[in-house]
Amino acid sequence: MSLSGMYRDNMKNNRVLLGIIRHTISDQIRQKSFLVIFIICGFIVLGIKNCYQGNYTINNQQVDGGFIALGASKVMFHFVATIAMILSALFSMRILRKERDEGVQSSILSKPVSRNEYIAGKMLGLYAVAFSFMFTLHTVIFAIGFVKTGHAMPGYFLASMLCSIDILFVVSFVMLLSLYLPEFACFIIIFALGLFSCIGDGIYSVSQNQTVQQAFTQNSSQLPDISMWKVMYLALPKLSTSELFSSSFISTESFNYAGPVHPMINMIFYCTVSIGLLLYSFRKQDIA
Amino acid sequence: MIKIDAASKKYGALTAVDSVTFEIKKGEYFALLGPNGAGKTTIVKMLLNFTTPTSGHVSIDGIPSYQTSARAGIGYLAENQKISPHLSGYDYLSRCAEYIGLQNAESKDQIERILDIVGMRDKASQLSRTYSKGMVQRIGLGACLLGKPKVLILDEPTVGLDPIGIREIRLILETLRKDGVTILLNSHLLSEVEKICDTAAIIKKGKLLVKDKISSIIQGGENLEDVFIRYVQG
Repeated sequence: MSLSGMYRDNMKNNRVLLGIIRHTISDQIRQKSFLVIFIICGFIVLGIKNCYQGNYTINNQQVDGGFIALGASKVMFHFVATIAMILSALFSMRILRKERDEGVQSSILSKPVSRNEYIAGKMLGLYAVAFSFMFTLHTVIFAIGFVKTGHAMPGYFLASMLCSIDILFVVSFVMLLSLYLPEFACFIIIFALGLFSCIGDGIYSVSQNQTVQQAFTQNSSQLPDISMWKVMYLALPKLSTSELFSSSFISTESFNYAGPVHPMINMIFYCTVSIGLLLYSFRKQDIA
Repeated sequence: MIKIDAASKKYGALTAVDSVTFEIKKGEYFALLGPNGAGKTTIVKMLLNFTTPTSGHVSIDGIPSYQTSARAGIGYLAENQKISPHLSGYDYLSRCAEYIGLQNAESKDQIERILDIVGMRDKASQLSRTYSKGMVQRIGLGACLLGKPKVLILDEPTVGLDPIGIREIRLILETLRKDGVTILLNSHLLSEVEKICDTAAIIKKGKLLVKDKISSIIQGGENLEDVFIRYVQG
């Protein structure tokens, strides 16, 4: 094939992929559930502006407004990121089944569209919807903090972008699960993974406390064997830890993590594996 | 144009298609006949790479069906054609045009022309949830005609249509004959098949019983329905 022919084919494939992404985005954002969640979250996010209006005193000392803004903004960062992940799980768990039932899959795949293009289009479309949802609300939080206190948090946008790796993992992993399991089971599994990561981070954070470490050292003979849980915590996808790492860019605080693999590398690894498995599994499936 | 060579498909212990071999020539109007569960839809699925043959080869225009480019000149109308309820007929056609790589201006021209052919111009902007089964079939047939396909695979195209609609579909298919389009028709409406198609294959329990010109397999005062019953019950 000539170079111009290959270029034409590539351009056509890109157009098809972009078309699938665009249609996926427009199909998702027109759903009532998306609009309802977006409006509710919007109200909650706007509600934090009241946090910046009062005077805060701790131990009879006036607290700097910027400190309060930073704390409130970090809490809201995690809240929005978690809702974005739940939203992406809700959309991903039903998209393939719904499109199969509505004849969309057979309609698209009877055209010269490869299964990889179809799955990539759906995955990137869902990622774009959930990421836009999260980034928009994060921008609103940043803007409120800046307007109310005059303190800008330049790391907020970088934190939001880094955190989107969790969304990519949730989308690809839930789509993979949805090929084999009912919708409800897919949601429960991803929810359990997120919860396990979150609890693990909490335990890890407490274990770093010096008093706790001393108490454990004194009573080490009575402690149960937690090596299996520790291995699981370190080996499973670090959804919550990577979110904590991302949020460390909001302020200048350091990120302390003693695990053998950095949480972002862990998440990149799991994203790659789940996207690879999703593409492979979908190629093996019969289209109804 | 379409070549199925010793293709079999097994689902566990069930053999849906059992070493079927036939060829459909360019410009031929070919009917695939058989009782429910005979394996017709599985053959169609193998052609579209919706399922992989357990053994044998399937190709379109010399290209193995598992290659994406094999579907470049194919229009497919599903047995139970559906359109997402939030899309209008025009939106659906527009999306299909995008998937086959038509540019905007070309896509618009073709959609306008096709809406006239399938008689849906007035209803094209309505949401598909307001369409009758027949209207969905017409839009589905319209989607098949986008990009001037070389092969049409039509799975029960007349389901849900009234006699006038059935006649209109037949006339549309007749007009495609002069363009050299190859048609694989999967239908239970044998009187229509007899009017439209040149060649027919009858399959039963996944096995090919006969494949020949319709004029050759009809004997004496028989019609296609008599032939079908003779082969299927015999």
